Amino acid sequence: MAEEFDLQSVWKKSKEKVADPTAYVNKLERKGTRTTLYWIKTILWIEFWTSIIGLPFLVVFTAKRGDSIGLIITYVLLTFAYLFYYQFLIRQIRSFSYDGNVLQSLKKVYGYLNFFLLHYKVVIWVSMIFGLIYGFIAPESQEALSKLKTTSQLLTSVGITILIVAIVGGVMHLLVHLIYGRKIKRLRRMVKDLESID
Amino acid sequence: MSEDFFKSYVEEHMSIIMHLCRAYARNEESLKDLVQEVTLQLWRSHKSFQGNSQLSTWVYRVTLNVCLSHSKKLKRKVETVPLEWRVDSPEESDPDKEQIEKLYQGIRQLKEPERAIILLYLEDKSYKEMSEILGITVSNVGVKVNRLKEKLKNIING
Repeated sequence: MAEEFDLQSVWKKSKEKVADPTAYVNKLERKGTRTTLYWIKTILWIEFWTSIIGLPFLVVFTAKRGDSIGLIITYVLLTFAYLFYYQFLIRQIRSFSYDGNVLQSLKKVYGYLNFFLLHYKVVIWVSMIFGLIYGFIAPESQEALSKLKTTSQLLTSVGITILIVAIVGGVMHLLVHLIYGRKIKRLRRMVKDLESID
Repeated sequence: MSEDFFKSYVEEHMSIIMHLCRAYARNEESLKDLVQEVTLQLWRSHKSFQGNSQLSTWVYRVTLNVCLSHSKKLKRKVETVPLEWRVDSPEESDPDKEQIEKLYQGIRQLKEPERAIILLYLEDKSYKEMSEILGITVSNVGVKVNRLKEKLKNIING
């Protein structure tokens, strides 16, 4: 009986019968970097198309509100700048490949996305602060503030406004962190892992 | 060694790496970890590969070293998962499948260093190559292979 069991031929058969290793490796790859980058790319596409669809509405809305043509043109130019920025980031993600230097390629993509995230957060807080200042110096606001009789009423209304702006800014900050921040953090971990291997 | 060459070389040898790792892994999850560890270890050390031995020898050596150290780590943990393997063929009475199952079960009953020797024998490596991979003398390889072949057959045949 012992002679009938040809170890080497059974071993060769096992190579044909056992699950395809290439599929496994692809699965491993999919689970990591590719998935993270795929989702970031998808979100960028959503932002891109939302900006395109939203642009005519923005123009009509601002025109109806009576904003100056200069401001409307600024909105349009800003939207176009962002469309190019989204496209640039999407192209960078697409260019990531396992074929060349994975670490360098991932580092580059991570750098661009991290900057994008940072810029997003800065834009949120800067626009909040400018909005707040504009809110106080706008003629309508000045008129409303002048109607307040006591200093405590004035301070309360200013305090509530600042609180609301801080909450809105905080929520937007959190939203950006949930949408991009966590994924970009995952990329940073991957970069660090690869660096420790190198 | 260029990275492109390294990548294609490892991809070519992934099937062998998988089969070697399978003999040391406890379940599918453990197999994934082990293959990933081997791949990372190969990548980590590919730049320092001096070309003193054949590339395949180096791949086998790294793979078996990772498998052995992985087994040591696992020994420290309590074993809770049964040693079962799925083979692609769905037929219940596939004689090939039964033989493969028997072979893997037999290999897994050997001690970890013994598994390395028998796996290299199954991979049809010459005694010289085996001695380079395992770091033992050629005559020692011959003795061990013959003894382990018999031991494995005895385990398989009960």
